Amino acid sequence: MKESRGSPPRLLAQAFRRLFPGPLGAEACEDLERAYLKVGSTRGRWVAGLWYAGHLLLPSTWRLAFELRRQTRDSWWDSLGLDLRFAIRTLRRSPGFSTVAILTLGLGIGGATALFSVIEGVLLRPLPYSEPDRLVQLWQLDEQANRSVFSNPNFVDVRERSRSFESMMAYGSLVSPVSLRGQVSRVEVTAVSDGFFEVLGAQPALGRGFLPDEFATQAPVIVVDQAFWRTELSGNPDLSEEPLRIGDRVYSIIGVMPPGVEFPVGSRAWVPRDPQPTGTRTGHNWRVIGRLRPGVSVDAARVEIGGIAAELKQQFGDDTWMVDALPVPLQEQLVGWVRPALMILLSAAGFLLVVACANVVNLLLARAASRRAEIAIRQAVGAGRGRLARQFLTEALVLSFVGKRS
Amino acid sequence: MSLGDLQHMSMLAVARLGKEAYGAAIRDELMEVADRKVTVPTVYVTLVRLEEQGLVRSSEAAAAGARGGRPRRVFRLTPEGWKALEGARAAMSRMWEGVVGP
Repeated sequence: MKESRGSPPRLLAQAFRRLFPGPLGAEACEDLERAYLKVGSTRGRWVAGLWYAGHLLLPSTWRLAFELRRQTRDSWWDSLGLDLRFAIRTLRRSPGFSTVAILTLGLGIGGATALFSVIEGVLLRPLPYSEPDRLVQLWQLDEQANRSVFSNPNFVDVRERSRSFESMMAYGSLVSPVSLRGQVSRVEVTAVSDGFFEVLGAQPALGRGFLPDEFATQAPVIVVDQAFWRTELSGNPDLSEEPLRIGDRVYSIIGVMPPGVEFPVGSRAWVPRDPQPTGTRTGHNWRVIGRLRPGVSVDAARVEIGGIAAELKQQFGDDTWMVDALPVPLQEQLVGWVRPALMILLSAAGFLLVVACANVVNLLLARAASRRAEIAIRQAVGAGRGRLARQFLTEALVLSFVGKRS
Repeated sequence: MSLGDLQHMSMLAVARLGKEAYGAAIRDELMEVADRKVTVPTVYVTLVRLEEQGLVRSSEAAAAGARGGRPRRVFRLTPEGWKALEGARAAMSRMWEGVVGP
């Protein structure tokens, strides 16, 4: 420990100054140093040094450190309030500067926030289904690797032979005239195969789902979505009262899906259909999604259903165009195409924000130069660098906050 | 409000010192008059807590030569502090009544 003659060890003195913040802390440090000198003058420097260092082990030292810190924290909050009021007064005194800075920041922050909200909703928020990472859309691939939807028999064969999927279902949507209580409206109705509820991992919130024989017989039953139930059926829990007509068929409403379950996007109602294993393999009628078994990767499923597609091609020759099959994660399938455009827009908005910030920084710098006299006075009456920095930071934060609100 | 022994002594020191009641002087008073061995941090902890309880109030006093011209914090008793001191003295007097020596 280095020490100059007549003063306590420098490192220890610094430690005490760090321990005891504020003016009262400084006074306590000075008292300790004076006491050190007194001990040193009667009992020697080494004893005084040990006496001085021993204070670090005293509980009262740490109690004082705690109390002073608590006081400093309280006064920090008090002076933050002062800074805030001062910042608001200062900004109101120069409305031209404030308006330009607030509008510039508002534009930058608003653009970035709006775009990020879109990206958060579209790309980042997971699909509203149970374990959506396990959902994939399946495509038939022909020799030119063109994607197409499935034919009835190809879907049935792939589903039967595949082991990578916990469940798989086919669906097809059509906007149909739906008549209810004499009112006709155009509603997107989706015909779904069995496995619909299992793949989505969702069951009707009210009523029931489709029974196995209702698929085979294509029974006139229908499940509607939450919004349809609330608006068209007035949220009536007694579903049996409301028969619904699509074309010339009358359907019984048997269930209402939970809020947020809308598959495919835009679909308001679902009816059961059974994809027959017979029929042409070159007709493409069904979109297909599947739920992977836990632990099975998309790549592993790709290998397996690719092999099944090759087997079917070998088996049926020119009767099928499918030579391969492709699983695509559902999230990517739904929003993947829009990702590059959104990322470019986000970059542009980020750049706009940076430009806005740079402009406001320039404005603040120009203004700080014109406030030299004020800064000098504040320094003269005791404001340290940290205190001044905090005041300017508070002003910048007030500007940003108002800019964000605007 | 009941006072701890050190609080009681410190407040009496503040009362005795008047306009000179700053940290170092209070400690000297405790050590020399009351014959109490107290460390510097203990004195300041006591003063901080007394101030929090509203029994003393501190303010910056005019610059003193001993601190290189920097102001120092001088303590004085508040009306509540005087009341607490009076209460402590009265309680002590009552307890002494009827006590006879060995």
